[in-house]
Amino acid sequence: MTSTPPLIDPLDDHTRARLRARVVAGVDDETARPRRDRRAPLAAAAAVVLLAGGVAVADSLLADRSDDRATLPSPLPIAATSPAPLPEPTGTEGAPVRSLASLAECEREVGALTPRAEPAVVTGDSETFGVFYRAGRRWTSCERTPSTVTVQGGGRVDAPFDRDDVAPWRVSSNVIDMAADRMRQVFAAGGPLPEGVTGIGYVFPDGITQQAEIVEDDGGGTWWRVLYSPVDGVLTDPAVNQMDLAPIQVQVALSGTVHRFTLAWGTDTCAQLNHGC
Amino acid sequence: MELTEAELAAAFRAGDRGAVAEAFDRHADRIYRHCFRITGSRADAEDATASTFLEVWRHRDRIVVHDDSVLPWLYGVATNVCRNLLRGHRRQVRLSGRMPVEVVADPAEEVEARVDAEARMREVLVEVSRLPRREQDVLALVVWSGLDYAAAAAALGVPVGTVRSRLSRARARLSRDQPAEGVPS
Repeated sequence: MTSTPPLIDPLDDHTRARLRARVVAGVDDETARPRRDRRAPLAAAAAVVLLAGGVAVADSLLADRSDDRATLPSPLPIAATSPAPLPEPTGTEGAPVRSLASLAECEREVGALTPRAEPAVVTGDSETFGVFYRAGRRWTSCERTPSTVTVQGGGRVDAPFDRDDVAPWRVSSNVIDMAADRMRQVFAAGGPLPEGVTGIGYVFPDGITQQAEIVEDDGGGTWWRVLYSPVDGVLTDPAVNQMDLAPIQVQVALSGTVHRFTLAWGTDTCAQLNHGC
Repeated sequence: MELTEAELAAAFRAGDRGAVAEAFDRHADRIYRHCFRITGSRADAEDATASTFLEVWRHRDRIVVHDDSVLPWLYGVATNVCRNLLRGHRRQVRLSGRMPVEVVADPAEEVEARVDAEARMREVLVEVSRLPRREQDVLALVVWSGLDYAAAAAALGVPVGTVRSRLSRARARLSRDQPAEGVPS
């Protein structure tokens, strides 16, 4: 058996100094580099149309670009229902809202995964929002919470509904606050709405059903998004192994019929710090 | 007076560039060793160490302090950086249709020792490569880097119970054929 790693020497002084200089230079470079023009995503953000439960894009997405606001459409009204509020992130009390920086995080992550992707629609509030991107007929999404950025997707925007394919309904999960006796995590899913689908609901093992928010972009594309952050119950207990819980059930309404999908823990849920399913 | 880890995190969030150098001075060795255990290569571990601190800077508004330490967060970022690095290598190998270049030993004693460590680490990585990646990550954090379950959970962004079960499954898999020296029960 060989699974004991060898002893590893610390970095020698020369290597340490070289790497440190590289890091410092990289930070200086990042700080000095001018930011990309973000007019396109901001315009997309302002063009959100809410068709079902959800929240409108907050004004604060535009907060520090007040000089641009006059040229953009006004945000649309807030819809009737909204997802459960998310907690303040651990250790970020007092941190300023960085809406534009946060959007830039999504752009950077998505850009690495899907070059030439353009934002189609943004939905959510200033700290917790989802952005759906298109690159030709492919799509990618970025879900941003106060402490995580999750990128997923890569499929075709015009993929038809497949009653035997669970992949479009998979969720990503991220722990956003961890304490010894309680944790907060966020489950996120979404994508282009398959033709004919009129409603999507996620039934979580704590008994909560979360309905999908459905939004339309200004190009006529329709998208769905589910975001759920439990505030109590089994999904907030750090001692509970998710593998022992009942699976998440997805209900999809299509042409008057409800189709059901079962998400296997671990396979159809992705727990990751940064990158999505 | 030295900053606490919470103050260091606050300096990051405030955009204080000195926070990166301070974090590097405090934690670079641990992150380097962790990256070496994931990549099996000193050169890759060095690259990944530098990239980790740059990533932390880029995502500084999301930095998390766990149990008065930013280290679990750093380990989490480092784990992702190393995995991405390895994925890049695999893509390169696939594209070029070649096997990875063999390490050629240098007669100098120091270089020989380094090559020995890399060769040994790669043997270990071959051994654990039959584990799913998520179990390898838990093994690397808890068993090899010495994080407790809660810190590993914070690093990976999963519940503590999930860390326990992944480690348990990793142990079971590794001991299925023979007892694992590096995987205490």
